[in-house]
Amino acid sequence: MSGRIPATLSFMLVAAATGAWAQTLELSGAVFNAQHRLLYQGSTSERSAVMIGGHGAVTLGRIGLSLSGFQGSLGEAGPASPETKVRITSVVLTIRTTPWLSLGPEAEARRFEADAGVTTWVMLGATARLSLAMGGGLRGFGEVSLFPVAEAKPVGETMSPAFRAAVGISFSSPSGFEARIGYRLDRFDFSGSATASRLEQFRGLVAGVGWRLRR
Amino acid sequence: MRRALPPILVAIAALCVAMSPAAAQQTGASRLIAEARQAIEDFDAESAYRLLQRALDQGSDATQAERLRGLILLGISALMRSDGADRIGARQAFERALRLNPAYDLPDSLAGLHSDARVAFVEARQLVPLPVPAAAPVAVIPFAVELSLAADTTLPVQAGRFSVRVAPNRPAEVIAVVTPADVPTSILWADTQRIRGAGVHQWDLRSRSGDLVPEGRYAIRLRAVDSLNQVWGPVERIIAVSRVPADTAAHPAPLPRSAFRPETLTLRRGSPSVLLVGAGVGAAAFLLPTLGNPQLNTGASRDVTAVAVAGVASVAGIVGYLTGHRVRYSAENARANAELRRQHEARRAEIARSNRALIAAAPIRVRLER
Repeated sequence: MSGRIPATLSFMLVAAATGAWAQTLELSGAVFNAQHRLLYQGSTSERSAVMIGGHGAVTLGRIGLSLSGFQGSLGEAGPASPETKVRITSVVLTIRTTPWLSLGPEAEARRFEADAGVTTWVMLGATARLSLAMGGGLRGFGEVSLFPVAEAKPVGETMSPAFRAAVGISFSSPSGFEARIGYRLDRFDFSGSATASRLEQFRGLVAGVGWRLRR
Repeated sequence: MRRALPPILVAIAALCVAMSPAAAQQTGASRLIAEARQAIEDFDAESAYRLLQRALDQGSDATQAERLRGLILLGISALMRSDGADRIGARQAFERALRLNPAYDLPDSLAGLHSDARVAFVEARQLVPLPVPAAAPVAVIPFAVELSLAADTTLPVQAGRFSVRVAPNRPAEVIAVVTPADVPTSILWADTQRIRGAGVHQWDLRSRSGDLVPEGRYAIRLRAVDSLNQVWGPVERIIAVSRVPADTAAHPAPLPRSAFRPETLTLRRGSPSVLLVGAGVGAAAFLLPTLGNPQLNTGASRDVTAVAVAGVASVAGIVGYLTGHRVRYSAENARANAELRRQHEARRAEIARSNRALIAAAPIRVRLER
């Protein structure tokens, strides 16, 4: 942990503090069974990680603020893919335009820590979230985030396209218990010459449970 | 030294006094009248007439009764000696007699002495009418009014009148005034009647504005004045005016929720769109891996987790459809409920209107307090 407070826990504290005036407060834990694929200099490597994270959100009227994050460790998959600790943190401000659609800006950061050093991706973009009622507490959800601004530091590489998408099913009980399961795909195409192109992708099952408190 | 008179001298003196002219005249009038009466009986009217003139002479000392009798006989003798021609003389004699005693009436014993005696007497009577008999002294009776009010009565609102019967013991002007019991200066109604015997003041229970007086206590004050300006009263009576409680109908209770039909119907199946959502999410999950870079995914195996999520989403859609519920608005039930509310309100309004009419028509009770 290196003494740093995980972003998820930080957000939980913030969310709890802001919950005093929020109409809903949502806290959940999640698991991302991520499969990471990398194409670099013509060779493809694949490794996986079970990333643990959390999600918190507060809603006031039509405005929502959510913070989510995962962290985990990718195993070594060759010289180009050493063992790497990964931490993903994203902040989204959403406005519910319709009962089933929310839009808003998003900022996401990905920190990769390996023996060779630390690389951080900083991405700014927009998010669209759909939530469709299916009855019986079930809802179908879909989420697409596009990051026109995506840069890997300190090298300064840019990514295009860089996006994240997820679809799945959630269940919420009247008591506030929530569970969700979905499939997630993160795609990052680094710019460069065709031969020097670098393609990265995270995909896999995402599942989580939590509670939604309403007043 | 003086000597006493001898008794013979006293007797002579008394005889002289008795033989004096005054004494002879006094006793002569009566004697003359008696002789005249006898002369009439003897049909010697001329002698009788002269005797009577002597008896009634100015110097005569006849009493009023003798003078009266003499004048009557004078009138009769005037008729007799003129054989009825001197009726004026007879009437004058009778008139003089009546002036002495206007109440005198000619007795039949004298009227029968001549056939015209009665006629002449009536003519004289016309000149001297009978005296008006003196009025009997009237006892001074105190002026009083008998008052009569109903102790407890119920009157109809329309044309109901509260009666106050007054009976003065002599003709009088009776004044009745009604005011609030606690505001004697505020006159609500007044009535003045000239009453002989008995009369009735009838208050219509309305103020001067014509409106029914509200419930409360009222004072009726009566005062009477007779022709001699004797005053009775004022006398005050307090009455309590109230409305008889009307038998009104109870307002209907608000309609219970159970009386209404459900305006939203819950259907025991989810919307078919739920199946579409489940299928759509499943398809999206199934296809989502294809959004990865094809160059990167060349040769990669199919991600079964995407297939699993697609299956879960599809199944969730089916479960949601089977276990879900739909709420549908029922316009028909809404119309029926609106009609039910309208009828209920109409019934309430009708009852309220009926109750108002009953209350307005409730009789008025008037109770005498004191």
